[in-house]
Parts: sequence; structure tokens; C-alpha cells
Amino acid sequence: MNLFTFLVQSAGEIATRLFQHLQLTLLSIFIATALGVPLGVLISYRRRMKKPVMGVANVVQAIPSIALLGFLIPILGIGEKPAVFMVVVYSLLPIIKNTVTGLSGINAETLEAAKGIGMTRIQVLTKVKLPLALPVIMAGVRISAVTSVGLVTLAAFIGANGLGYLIYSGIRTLNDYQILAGAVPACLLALLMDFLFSLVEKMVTPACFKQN
Amino acid sequence: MIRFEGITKRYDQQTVISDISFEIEKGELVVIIGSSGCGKTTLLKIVNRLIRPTSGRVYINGADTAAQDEIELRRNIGYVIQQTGLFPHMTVRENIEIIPRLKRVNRADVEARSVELMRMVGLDPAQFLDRYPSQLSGGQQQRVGVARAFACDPEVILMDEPFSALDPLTRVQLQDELADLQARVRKTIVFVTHDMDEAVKIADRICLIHEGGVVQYDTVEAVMKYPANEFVADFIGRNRIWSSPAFIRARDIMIQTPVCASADTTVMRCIERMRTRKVDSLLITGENMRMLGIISAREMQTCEDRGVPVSRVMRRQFEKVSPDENIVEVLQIVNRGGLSAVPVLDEAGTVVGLITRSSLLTTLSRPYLDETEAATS
Ligand SMILES: Nc1ncnc2c1ncn2[C@@H]1O[C@H](COP(=O)(O)OP(=O)(O)OP(=O)(O)O)[C@@H](O)[C@H]1O
Ligand SMILES: [Mg+2]
Repeated sequence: MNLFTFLVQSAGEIATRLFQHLQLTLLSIFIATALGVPLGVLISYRRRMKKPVMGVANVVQAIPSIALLGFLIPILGIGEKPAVFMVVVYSLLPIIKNTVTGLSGINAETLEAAKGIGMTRIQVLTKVKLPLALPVIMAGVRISAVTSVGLVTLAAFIGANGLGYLIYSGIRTLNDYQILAGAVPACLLALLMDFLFSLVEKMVTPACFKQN
Repeated sequence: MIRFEGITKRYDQQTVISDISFEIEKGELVVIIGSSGCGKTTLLKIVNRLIRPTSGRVYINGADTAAQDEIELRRNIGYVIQQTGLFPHMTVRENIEIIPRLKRVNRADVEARSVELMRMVGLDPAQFLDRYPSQLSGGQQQRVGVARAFACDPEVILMDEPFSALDPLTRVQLQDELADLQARVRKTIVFVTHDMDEAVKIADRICLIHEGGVVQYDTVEAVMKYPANEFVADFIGRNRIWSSPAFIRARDIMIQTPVCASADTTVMRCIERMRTRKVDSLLITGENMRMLGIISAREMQTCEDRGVPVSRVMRRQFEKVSPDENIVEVLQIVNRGGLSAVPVLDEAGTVVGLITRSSLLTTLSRPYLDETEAATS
């Protein structure tokens, strides 16, 4: 049996796994963004929180992912829950970092003007700060999205679904074709994510920056 | 309109402003000026509460600003800074309309107002309203900044060096336009700058700040003519007045005790007086120094009967200027009439002084002579 016939035979399963993989990735990114952006905003307002939050995020990032999964089993059990948790934890850092960077890169005088003409703090944040920081924030999300695709494959080690399952069982049964059937779509998915998020990034870039 | 009462601002140990008190009248454009770092911006931002004073209060229309809601306060005060004050991600329209929209002003009204504001600052609404600030020149951006400040039709407008980043030509143009606009709308404007030329151009009053205090707060003319001290004189530049001749008035350059004679003096006596006082014309006055006529030495020489009162031979038609006329107007009158001297009369026709060709020459040559003196000393 060659690779081609193998792929044709297991096309259905690959598609299912790919879909599961995509779901897990998007869910994780969604959660990571929903947590990371507010955290980044919070840090940008409370300077003192910057060190501890970034410190924790950095340390977490430094833990080997497999080890982290191991630690999570007693707490969250096996399956998708710890998998998503792990991916979220790893995705947070770039999102928080970029949010903070994006917000702190805004011209101080622009902000002073916003305040000076009578915007409330919330309005300054939603009407000026976030729109201006959005391209940088989205760049962080994009980095997370790409790395998430890879991280989700690891989740198969603790019983989560996705393309990692194909790779994992391929390794166990010494089936190179099966490994490839998981790895190649994962690779393509990562590239696709990168492309899609680059579009989003362009979309949210204020028109004024595009022309230059 | 805006009253500063004992404003002091301290940062740690550094006292930036100490106990400043003064009042800005409604409808006046007051320029706050001083060297870099003297606290101009600080003082301005205390008005819209971007900065809290260490002590002291600011009253607008008699109401203590500290007691008001700061958002409401700021929305009722226009604020213009350098180009960076525009929001780069918003179009010109969005920039101008942001506060009215947040205030939930009726949509149609807001849109009509934007068009009106654009015209007011000399920008074509159709062409510019939907552009982004980055697609405008620096001068155009500042016009938009001014338009935005007027959006809610505030009584008070604060401007912090709005034109200082522009090239000199554009800057002068915008200064002129601001002066014109202010003449029409008569807002109370507080304008910060460190450029004296700019101040002279646009200010009704100048507030000069030095070492944390107000050194002089007065009209542009008064500051130039009667600087409160050496610092002020140096700051405004000693020859500054020469670049604004409209501020040099007849009263400043006239001879204050011209040689006069009463109407019944004989011609003989008059000739005598002219000789001893070494003048070539006499002002002939009636009661209370009211001027009746003028006579020159030549006119008297031709007079045959020297025993008659001078009122018989004097000229009753003569050119005159009022004490407040400026040097340009005086020069025009002198040149037009080919006069050697022109009397300065108040409204009642009383002689207050005399301007002669030689007093004009002395005045006009002063800036050059001062310079050479300064150069040689
Ligand atoms: N947040 C701050 N902390 C400490 N010192 C400050 C702060 N803000 C301003 N200062 C000091 O207060 C002084 C006045 O500052 P301000 O900005 O009012 O000056 P300025 O007159 O507007 O000067 P410029 O013409 O350069 O704009 C300066 O010496 C500055 O160093
Ligand atoms: Mg300043």
C-alpha cells in the first residue's frame, strides 16, 4: 500500500480529525484572547501589576508542554479540558505582551487630547486606545494561533482528539503514512491560520496606517 | 470669565507655579507666554483639570471648576494642541464629531455643524471631511484641530502652542486666520506660546510668566511700551515695537511742551519768542490752551504791521492729529501736507503736544542708533 491509497482510504478520518483540531485550536485562541487582552489592558493601567503578571506568564511559557500536561491530569483529568487549558496558557503570553506593547506605543499627546476634549476613561480606551493598538494585538493573536495548531497535536498524548491522534497512533504502530496523514494537514492548517489571521490583522488596521 | 486664584503647583520639591492670580475677561484672547519650562502648559491644563493644582482655584463664570464634573467641564472647553492631538484612526469628520456624538446631539445637527465648522476654518468640506489626518498637510491638520475645539460651541478655548510645529509661512497664515476668526466669534481664548511675534499678532492681552509667577499681565501695547522690568524688556526684545508701528502712537513721540502763544500776542512778540526758543512755527491758542491756529516763521516775515495781534495773520486751517493716532497715520498726514510740524490735539481741541519732522526723525532712527550703540559698547 502506498501513501496515496492510504490517504484515500483514511480521507474521512483525516477530515474528522482536522475538523476536531480546528475546533480545539479556535476554542483555545478564543479563550486566550478573551483573557489575554483584558489582562494586557489591566496591566497597562496598573504599572505595578506588570511584573508579576508577565513573570507568571513567562514562567509558564518555560515549562515543557508535555510536563505541563502531566501536571494537569490530576487536576483536570484527561481529554480536551486539560488540552485546551494548556494551549490557552501558552497562548496568553504573546497576546498579553502585544496588548501591553500596543497600548503603550500610542502617542501620549493623542491620549492627552482625548482626555482633554472630554472623553471618559472607558471612551478613551474603546474609542482611541484599542483601535490604535488593535493591529499589534492582532499580531499577538496571530502568533498564538499558529503555535496553537502545533500545541493541539500534543494534546493527543492525554487523550484529546485532533490530528495529534493520527500522529500518536502512527508513532505507536510505526506507521509512517499515518504520521504523515496527521503531520501534513497540521502543517497546512498552521499556514492557513497564519494567512487567515494576517487578513484579520489587515482588516483591523486603521485605514490611516494602510496608505503609508 | 476665567479667574485664577492663588494657583500653586509643586512637583516633589520643584515649585513650577507659585501663587498665580489673575483674571481673563470674557471675549478676550490672552496669550500666556514665557521661556520653555516656565509652567505655561501646566497653567493651561489646570484650567481643564488635566492637572490638579497643589493649591488654589480656578473659576469659570464664577463657578469653581474643582466642584464640577470634570468630563462635563472639559466638553464645554475647547482644547487644541499640536497636530498629534488629532486621532489618526478617525477621519476629519469623526474627529470633529466625536464629542457631539458622545453627547448624543441630534445626528443631522452634528453633520450640518461639521460642514459649517470646516468652512469656518477655511477647508472645503466635500474635499476634506472624509480624509484621515495623515492625508492632510500640517496646516490643514491644525485647522481641523481648531474646528474640533469649536464643535460644541464652547465659550472658553484653550490652545497649547497649536502652530509651533508648522513652517513659518503657514504659521503666520494660521495666526492671521485665528485673529480674524476671533474678531468674529469673540470667544474667551487662552493661548500658550513662547513666540513673542505670535503673541503680538493675535493677543488682546499678554500674560508673561517667569519663575513661577506672572511678571506682567497687560495689553500687548502696554507690555511693549511699559515693560514691568528688565526681564520683560529683554524677553519681548527692546526693538520689538518697531515691528508693530501700529502701537507707536502720537502721544509717545510728540513734544509735550510745544511753544505756544495766545491769540492776542503781537506778531512782534511772536517773532521774538520763536527766535529765543529756536522754533520755526508757533501754535496759537485761546482759552484753556484750545488751539485756534498756527503760524510759521516765514509767514510772519511777510507780515508788514508787526504790532497787530497774531490772531489776525495766523492760519486757521491746519492739519492735526489725535494722541492715539499711530505713527503710520502721522507720517501720512505729514507727508501729504508737506508739513514741518503737526499739532496733537485732544477731542476738545486742546493742545497736548506737537510732532515735528525732527521729532519723527529722532523716533524713527532710534532702533538703528540703539543697535549701533549696543554694538559699540
Ligand atoms: N509630571 C511632572 N513631574 C515633574 N515635573 C514636571 C511634570 N510636568 C512638568 N514638570 C516640570 O514643570 C515645569 C513646567 O512644565 P510645563 O510643561 O508647564 O512647561 P512649559 O512652560 O509648557 O514649557 P514648554 O514651552 O517647553 O512647553 C518644567 O520644568 C517641567 O520639568
Ligand atoms: Mg508647554
